[in-house]
Amino acid sequence: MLNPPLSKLRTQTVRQTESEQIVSVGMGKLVVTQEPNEILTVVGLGSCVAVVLYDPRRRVGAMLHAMLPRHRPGASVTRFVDSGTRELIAQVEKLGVNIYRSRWYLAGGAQMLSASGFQDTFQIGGKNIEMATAMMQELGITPIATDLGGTQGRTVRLYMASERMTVRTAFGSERIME
Amino acid sequence: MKQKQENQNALGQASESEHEPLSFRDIQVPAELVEKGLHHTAEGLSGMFGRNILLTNVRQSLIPIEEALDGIDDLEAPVAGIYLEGTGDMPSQFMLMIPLKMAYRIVDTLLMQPPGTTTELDDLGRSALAEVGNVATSLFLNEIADLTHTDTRPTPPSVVVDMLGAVLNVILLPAGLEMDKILLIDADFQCCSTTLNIWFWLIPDISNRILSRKQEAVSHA
Repeated sequence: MLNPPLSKLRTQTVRQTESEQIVSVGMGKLVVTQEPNEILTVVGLGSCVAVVLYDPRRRVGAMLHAMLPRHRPGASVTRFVDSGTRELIAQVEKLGVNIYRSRWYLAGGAQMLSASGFQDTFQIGGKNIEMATAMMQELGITPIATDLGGTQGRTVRLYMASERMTVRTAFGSERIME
Repeated sequence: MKQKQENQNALGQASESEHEPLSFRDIQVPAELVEKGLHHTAEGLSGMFGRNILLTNVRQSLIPIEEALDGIDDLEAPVAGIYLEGTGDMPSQFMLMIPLKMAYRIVDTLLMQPPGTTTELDDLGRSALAEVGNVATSLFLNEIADLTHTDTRPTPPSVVVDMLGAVLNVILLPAGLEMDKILLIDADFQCCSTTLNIWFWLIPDISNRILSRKQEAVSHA
């Protein structure tokens, strides 16, 4: 199990205010924002991985919803963990973000099926985690918090106003990642 | 002219594939064929539940894989998903999705228990739902195989209970390994007004050219 120790996750809901707007980050998409009233959200993250950056100095947030680990030539770069993370970095650096002075979070990579016979389906969550952690190591970055693996789907949110990152598993409550 | 290439899929595994642009017309499964298969499924489910179950809606679309979840209202809704793969001449993936509370009612019906007995899915409940997937998919595949003179069979089913979006990851991600667009066939079944809702997703492997060849065979028959 790659889930973090429970001490890393505070069980507390971040309340959404009326002025805040939910921005859904679709599968295989990257969203970068400087809007303080936005909540970047991936709903129902299964074997996909969310790579998230928040720069408290520049107040820039970025969320990648990557489906698969390794880039395939000709396909959209943001579908993949490796090329999508590089694209995320390229986009936030254009906004003056120092990636080494930012907060990084990783979530997702669940193994959604437990029966034998669906090998590709099984491997994807684990391979996504491997690639995401390898990318962080290659960059020399230690994420603030991770919520990876397991067998349940997740919803992740980055609240730009309160600068909080949260995760909620199926049938669970929302928890702050820190 | 077909160009054969050795390349890596998105998991980094070597794969050999034939690359040739496909149009929707090339890969579309004849609607009549799909509907016949799905009506056969509805008949089988009707027999299983002892109620008249109707096929109410069938949609077929070729969409970029990143857009497959666009327009779905509540990706966080709890569902039971029953996953199977079609193997043989026409590789495909199937997912039947049932709102979780509805799945509990189905388990009660199949196990001949009073309504409200099932409040979570134990092994027996999962087995009952797996059987629903098995019947639905086998009947569909049998009908398609008969009509196209192909050999295709379902794998044993696997049941997953989670958020709708996470369940759909199961069927979409393997398709994304080698394809940018997926051919999505989805259908709704209903029984007794709105008392039974089953959402059926089918993703044929369009990187396999047999589908289009079979389409030609069917249209010339």
